[in-house]
Amino acid sequence: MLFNSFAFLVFLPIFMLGYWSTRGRARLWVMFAGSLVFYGWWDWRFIFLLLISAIVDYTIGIVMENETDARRRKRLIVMSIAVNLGFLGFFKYFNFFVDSAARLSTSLGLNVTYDALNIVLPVGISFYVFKTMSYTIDVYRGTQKAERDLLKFATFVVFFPELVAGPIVRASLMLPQLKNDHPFRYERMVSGLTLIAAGYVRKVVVADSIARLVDVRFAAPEAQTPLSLLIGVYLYAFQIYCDFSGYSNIAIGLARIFGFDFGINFDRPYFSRGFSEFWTRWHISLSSWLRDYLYIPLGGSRGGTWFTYRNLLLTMLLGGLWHGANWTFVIWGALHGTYLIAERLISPYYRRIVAKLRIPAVVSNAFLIFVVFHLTCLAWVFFRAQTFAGAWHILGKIASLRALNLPGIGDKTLIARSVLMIAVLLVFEIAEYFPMKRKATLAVRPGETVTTGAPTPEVSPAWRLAFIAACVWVVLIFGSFKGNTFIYFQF
Amino acid sequence: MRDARRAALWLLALLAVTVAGDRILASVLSRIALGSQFRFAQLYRAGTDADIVILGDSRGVHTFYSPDIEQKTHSRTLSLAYNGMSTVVAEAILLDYLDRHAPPKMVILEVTSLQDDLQLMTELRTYTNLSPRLRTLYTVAHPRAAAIGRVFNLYPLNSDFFSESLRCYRRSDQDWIMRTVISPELVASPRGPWIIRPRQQSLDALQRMAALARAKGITLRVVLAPYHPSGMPKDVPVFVAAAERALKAGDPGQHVWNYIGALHDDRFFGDRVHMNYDGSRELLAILERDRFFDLPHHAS
Repeated sequence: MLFNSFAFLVFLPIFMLGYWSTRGRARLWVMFAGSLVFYGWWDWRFIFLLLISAIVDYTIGIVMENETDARRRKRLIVMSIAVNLGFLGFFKYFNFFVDSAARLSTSLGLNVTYDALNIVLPVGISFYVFKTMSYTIDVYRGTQKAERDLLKFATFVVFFPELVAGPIVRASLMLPQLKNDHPFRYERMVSGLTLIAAGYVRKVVVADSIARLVDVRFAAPEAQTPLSLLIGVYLYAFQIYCDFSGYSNIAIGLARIFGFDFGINFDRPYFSRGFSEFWTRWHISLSSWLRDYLYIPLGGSRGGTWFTYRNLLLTMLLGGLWHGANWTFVIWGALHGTYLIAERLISPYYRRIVAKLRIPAVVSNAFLIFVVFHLTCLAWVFFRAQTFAGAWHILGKIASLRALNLPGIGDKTLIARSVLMIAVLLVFEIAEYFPMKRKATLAVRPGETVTTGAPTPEVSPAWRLAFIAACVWVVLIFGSFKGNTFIYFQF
Repeated sequence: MRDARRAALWLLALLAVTVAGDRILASVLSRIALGSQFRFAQLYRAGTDADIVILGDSRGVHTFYSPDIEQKTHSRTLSLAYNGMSTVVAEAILLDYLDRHAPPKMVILEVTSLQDDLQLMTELRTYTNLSPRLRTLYTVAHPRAAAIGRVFNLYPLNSDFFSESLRCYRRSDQDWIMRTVISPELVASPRGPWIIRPRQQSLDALQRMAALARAKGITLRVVLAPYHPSGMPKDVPVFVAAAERALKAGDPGQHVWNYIGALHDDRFFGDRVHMNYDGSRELLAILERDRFFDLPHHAS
């Protein structure tokens, strides 16, 4: 079920009625059953996969906690990871790896033929597999107590707001919140609805409007001028940002209404002054997951310079592959890994130059934001293109710098409208920047845990009412009602 | 309980503000949209009569450049053609035009619109409050969206036409035409079989348009504009024959002015199916040569 679908408009009030009219275990059952309906609306068969994943990790968690023998505990955690990655590997990567192996064999002169399996990718598998994996790893490390209540654990796994496209809410954050009933709170409802309204504006007004312009450019780049393609790349940067952050806003807002705190998942990433900062602002729940369960176990920055670079690159390569079974995602990850390494190499010299030339901080920051944004856009080309050749074609055409004139562009009004909407979004983000404390970003620095709630500025209910009404009007006039799916559903 | 009561009151207030704002904003924005120089605002605002009216889909837009036609013919020309306009919609537009303006001397229709569906109604919903004909078509094409539009007055303004109305508030959009030249890559890239098929509803509409034009003394010119050689559709004779049958059923003196292969050079095309400005000028010269703009005695 999509948040921007008619079915969800019907589902949500029914769920709310069931949720607020029950208590204790009955409420857990409502959450569990409602979430399965939400998930099964897409394809009910994959409910079983979801439940198997939950039951396996629930069982392993308890057995592992009871086990005192270190070797057996290790075996159990390996089993949990193998099952989770096995699901992911089969449903998401099987054809990709077989196809890649066949291509490699062909290039080595071996004649290999194979039939690709017709595998449907279960929605949200990458998200819930990471969620349950982090739980068993935490139990193994002893930082999380195993959950003995199956219903509670299953509800944690399937809770619908964040089930299919994140944020990846960890057990340490969610399970304690499932211990008690959350009474209805007026303030939570108002602030949750504010987030949801803002999320819908991002998704159906900004992202979906931009999608029309982006799709046509990436589908047939040969029919576009270089300037038109360049505009398409810039627009895609904002499409994916608004699409995914919009989804996160809606998910976090829904959870807030029901009494849960998920933390934040985006924090104005395009204002980052470096890539290490970017990754503490973009898809925070994933980047902190990769840091805690991949980068640090690989050795993090403890093994010297070259090991750090290797770990960064490996983490980003696998982070890229997490997004999809395509080499374009791997290249996207490799680019970000390279950016992180380059940043570590260059930043001491850059700081020295800035100090020596006495460049004002505002100029230096603006320059860094400009550079980071453009390098991010370069990587987005690989993320969005279907093939490496397609991405290369687009970049080559843009680099040719031919026909950089506006008359060659046919959809100027739509572009102008999109630019206006992006400008409004950025004004809101800049305005938000000043009064807010930076706690949310700081909370995901290495070694810290993900924050349980972003500090929200005190805004009166009257202002929130005006804001939500304005969002409704904007959605009515400028929203797309075609039920476009969220980009991150495919991951 | 106190929280629930506060929430209920707050939600009621939200509903009231949202609905009131919807009505007020929709009223203001509709007036702004109608005051624009955008082609359809000109249509629904009285006082802008034209001698020549152009209808059709995107091929009509990029074939007939009204400023040049105006210059050549010394007749006020208004293009009401738009991307995706089907003949069914063109008929409704023509009837709405005749309700609000003096009959034009000539109506030009690019006949490829026979294959289009009612997709353009998503855009034309902006004017459904001004035209019962468009409202009917919109309800047929998008029943659920039409229902939403009855609840929220702002929703019908959710279209590219509204944005276009704002963009063209002070300047006319009649100078809209492709200015680029088809790229060699596009010419060289392969294209699958391409067939144009008329829709029966559109053929019926064409027949009614021919009869209406005859009854009102309007000269109707039905034209098949050039395609780029690499985008030439199959089954053109079948398409033209169907169009001519419908035309003649409405007015026996009618025929299709077929220029499908009139231009060949790449420089006359913006892409495979659309001419550019140079192509439009070239075709205009051919039309003049063929006395296309000459009016029969009964219509002059």
